[in-house]
Amino acid sequence: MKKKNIKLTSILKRELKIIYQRHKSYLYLLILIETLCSGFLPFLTIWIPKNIINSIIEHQNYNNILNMSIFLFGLSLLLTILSLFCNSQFDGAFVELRMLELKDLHKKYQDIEYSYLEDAAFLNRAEAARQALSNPIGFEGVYRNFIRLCPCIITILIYLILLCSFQPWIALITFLSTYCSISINQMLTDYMEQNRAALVKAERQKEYFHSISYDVSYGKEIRIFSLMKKLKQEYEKKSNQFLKISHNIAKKEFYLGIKESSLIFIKNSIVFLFLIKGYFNHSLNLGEVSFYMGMILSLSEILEKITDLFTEWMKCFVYTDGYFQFIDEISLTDGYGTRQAISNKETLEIEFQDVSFRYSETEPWVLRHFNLKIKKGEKLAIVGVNGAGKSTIIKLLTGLFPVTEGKIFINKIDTREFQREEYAKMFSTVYQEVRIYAATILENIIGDAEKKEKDFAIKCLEAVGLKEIIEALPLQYDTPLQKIIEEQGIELSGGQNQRIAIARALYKNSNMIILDEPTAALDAIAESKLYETLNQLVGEKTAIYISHRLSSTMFCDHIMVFSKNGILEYGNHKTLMEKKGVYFEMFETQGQYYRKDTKNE
Amino acid sequence: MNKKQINKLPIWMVLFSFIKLSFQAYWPYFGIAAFKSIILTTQAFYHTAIASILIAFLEKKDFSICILAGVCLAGIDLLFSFISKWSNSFTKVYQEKLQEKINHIIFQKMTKIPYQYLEDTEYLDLIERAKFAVTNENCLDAILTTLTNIFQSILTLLGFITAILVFDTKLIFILLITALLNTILFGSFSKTRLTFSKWNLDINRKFVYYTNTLLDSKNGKDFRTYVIGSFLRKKFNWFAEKMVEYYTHYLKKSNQIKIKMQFVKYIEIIMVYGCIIEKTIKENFSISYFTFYTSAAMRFSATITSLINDCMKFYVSLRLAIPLIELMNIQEEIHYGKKILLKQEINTLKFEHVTFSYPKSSVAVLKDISFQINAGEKISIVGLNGAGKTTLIKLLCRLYRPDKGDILLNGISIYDYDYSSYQNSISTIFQDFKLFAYSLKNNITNEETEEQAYHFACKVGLKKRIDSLPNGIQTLYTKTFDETGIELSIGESQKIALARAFCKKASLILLDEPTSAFDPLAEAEFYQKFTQLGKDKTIIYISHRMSSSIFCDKILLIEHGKVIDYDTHANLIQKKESLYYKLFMEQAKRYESSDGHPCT
Repeated sequence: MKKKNIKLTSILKRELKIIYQRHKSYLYLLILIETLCSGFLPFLTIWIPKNIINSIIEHQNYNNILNMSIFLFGLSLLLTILSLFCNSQFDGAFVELRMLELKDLHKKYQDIEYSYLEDAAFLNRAEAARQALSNPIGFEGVYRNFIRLCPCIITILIYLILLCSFQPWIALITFLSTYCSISINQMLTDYMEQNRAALVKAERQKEYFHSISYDVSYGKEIRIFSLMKKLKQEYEKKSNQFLKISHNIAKKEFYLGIKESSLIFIKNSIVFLFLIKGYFNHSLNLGEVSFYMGMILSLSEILEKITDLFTEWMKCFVYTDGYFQFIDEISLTDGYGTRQAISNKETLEIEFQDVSFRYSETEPWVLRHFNLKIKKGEKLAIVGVNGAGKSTIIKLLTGLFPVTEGKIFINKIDTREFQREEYAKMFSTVYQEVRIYAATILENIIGDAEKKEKDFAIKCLEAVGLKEIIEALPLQYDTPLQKIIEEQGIELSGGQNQRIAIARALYKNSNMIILDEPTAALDAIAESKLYETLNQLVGEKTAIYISHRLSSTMFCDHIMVFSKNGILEYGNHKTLMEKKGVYFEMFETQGQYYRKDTKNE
Repeated sequence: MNKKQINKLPIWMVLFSFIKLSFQAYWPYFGIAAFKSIILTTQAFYHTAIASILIAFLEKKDFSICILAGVCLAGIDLLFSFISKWSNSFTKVYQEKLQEKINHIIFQKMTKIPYQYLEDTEYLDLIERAKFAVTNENCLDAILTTLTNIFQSILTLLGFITAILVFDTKLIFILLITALLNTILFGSFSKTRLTFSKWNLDINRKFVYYTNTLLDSKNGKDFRTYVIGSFLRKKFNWFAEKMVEYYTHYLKKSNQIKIKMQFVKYIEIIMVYGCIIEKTIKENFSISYFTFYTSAAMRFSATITSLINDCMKFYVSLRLAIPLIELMNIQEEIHYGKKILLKQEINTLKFEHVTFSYPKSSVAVLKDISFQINAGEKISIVGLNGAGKTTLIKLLCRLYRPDKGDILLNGISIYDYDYSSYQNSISTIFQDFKLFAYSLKNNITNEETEEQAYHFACKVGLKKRIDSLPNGIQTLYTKTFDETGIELSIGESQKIALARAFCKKASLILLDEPTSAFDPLAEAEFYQKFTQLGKDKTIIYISHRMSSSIFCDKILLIEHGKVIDYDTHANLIQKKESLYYKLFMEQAKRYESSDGHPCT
């Protein structure tokens, strides 16, 4: 338990330091003002009636009493207004601080090595970090609850001091019961911490089904395979699991709450007895009795407020802890070099030298003593069965993953010498999964480039056969894609999206181009046309094609047949066919259906 | 944002629908919530009165009675504390349960609305806004909580009004006037608040898109290869700045109103105290009365403030829920099938002059389509992208209805058959198939046994893969539910979907690009097993791989929504001017036969 306390204070300290780092030091002053004002106000609220009552008992003049009241209430008003002002400043500032953290997170996230993004555990941590910054419970919540807590502490201190001066025993009892309340809170948060993993897991599982409700892409299957009943059953099961855990936490909260109430009862009874005694031996007048009673009740209210606050604050700390750990993790720079990219007028010669790779020490080797040389301007096709490791070769070449053993050379330079961003400049890759973003067609291709580069982008779009379609649209190249950002956005078909992805690669015009299944969604004629234009546009550059359609890879200079055991065959179409090995078998298998009728004729 | 959508439903109707929905989902919640409100109101009264009760006893100057009173008062406070904590806890639990049940109802609804809404951009927007309101903005929780708070506040106010009325009508007058004043002040601000809330919601959705996209690992490769990543970040940063700017501006305005309201509040306090002090002095009331009425007046005023705030939050949350209510109001699909159960297998399947265009589109996707398929035939549908092939399948699945013409099964319109018995007779795999995060076995089949599921998994070439898994076919698909789940490749997932399609005891199987992610050997393996898998079944096969036309009995050639030809491969390949010939040869010409002769 002590360890946790240390963590909480360190997170709080760090967040307070961030205020200074982001040049918002004025907030410190505001926090102080707010703490004092809001801390003092509850005291005033019970002190004023005391004075009025005493004045009435002393039979003072009505006007005098009224004037005094006006003055005191005026003071309360002033404190309230100051507090309101501070709070409105806080509100805006905390949101801004959260935004700044998000900006940082995005930047660092894009800078880290890609290999992290295929690690499920890492992604979970990333998701937790994102949650901490995406809603008020998290990074921002730490600040907000701190602001709400500080005045409470001040008020309690004021009360304790006053009680001390009246009757030290009461002060002691009050202090003890406050301490017990805090320990009870601590017990609750410990319990929640133990169950947090289970709760988060159960919540995620039920949210999976919840999100299916709104995901229309499941619509066809649900209707055709009559899955409504089964899915609802599973959903209800997961919901119930979640509710059970939640219920247990609520029960625990209740039991601890009862303990706390019992302590308060004991405290209250003792205080009442003291007050009554004090009145009867004339050390207290009615005004003071009401004052101290008000104080006790106010104290109970404040303690309850702190309890609620603390539970929420704990949640915020947990989330924020995940965030800080994550951002520290991804801020580590790795051992990449400083070399700049090779000028894109020059194409690349690739060499894999005794490369071995596996995703982690517990996973099997995907590549073992892999050797490959690709000459400048060569067109290489990589074919093989699913899951053999073709995509892995590409990931290693483009620098997404580091090799476990061995080296890769680009134009005889070790790839590790390059600066990571510079290295990425040298490759244009079209991946199997096409991702289109909510931006205009042009922006999807060129990002934020200047107008003068627009012409080249249009040329690329023309090359992939999209020119007519785009120019038929009302906004043409400035047509927004997807509807989430712009209501006028449109959705293109799978084949059209694939072509945009290819245009994006062509536009980048880097030293080398890599295409992974670029025509899966296109019909035969469109596919043919595309490969013709691609060959033209790629020109003298080194290129790698991965495709299952051997008809499209047979024009390459070399074909590499790849399997789990490494390179099975390597050569050009003619030599591989003559060999009558694996390539021959694949080609014939795919082609036999086209030739079947010739034999039948 | 689509303004006409937002204003479609009047707010009282939204409230009514919401209450109805909640009641239907889990009505005990309302009982508990009402009970909690009553308890908390009573507790509030008690806390207001406790000081004055003790003072009253003290004024009687009997020591032992005072001691007794003191202990009793503390004891009653304890009792209230128990009951209120209990009811708070219970209410929270019931509220969570209610929210879950509402979500289940939403889930069920979504599976029953006519399919066409799921492809209609207007409704997609509606669904997305409903999702955002429930998931991101937590509108269900907000509505329920504020509703309970409002009920509680009203009870409190009624109670205090009664008590204060007894004391002094002038006091009530003061309190009610200031309440009115505050409401007016707040009302003048509410427009600003609503505009802000609308804007905030809109910005939030876009915001969430950018954050999710930037942190989505699936985009990681693209972001490291292209500049689109830094472009999106720039866009995000711009939005973030705008948001902070606007929010700060709104806070300033909000603060001004709050300060004005505080002024009103303190003037009220002074007037209230003035009135009570005057009365106490003039009519020589006891201090306990003074204590009670000042506390009551303060509580009253505080309750008014929180009531106004809760009403505003309530209103805003209800507005958020409008897309959800609109969604729930969509009529579920009623299938008027004459309930003829499909006991016999399929003998004939006939499209008769079917014309179809998607709702809200004037372009006819299918024009006067007529063709017939007989039992056990394997038909390949061929055509360019956008020709209408997938649309045919959707019509066969009863996801849409033809505008003109009809589809006849064994001579009877498919719409005359009982809906679920019809669905039981067909099976599909779509180009954009989806699998679920439960076990592979359940993904393949829910009704059949594990052996059956395994049998078909092997048939589609997954034996090795499944045998290599520690939990075999019971392994969960993806790691969503558990770490022991498996992430399959696209090709392997497609095989599971294929197994699902064939495992179902259906007589009509519709395959739309079933091997798009397969490597050549896997694809060939599938072609080989195809005859066996499809024995006694009628199959429609769509693929860009012209090679699949070979093992089909006939090919239906579609161009621009019309049937151009419907014949065997042998006959079609003779027509050297046709689209079919072009498509086939485009792919075939590259596969020279092994002895170097081109295949024509």
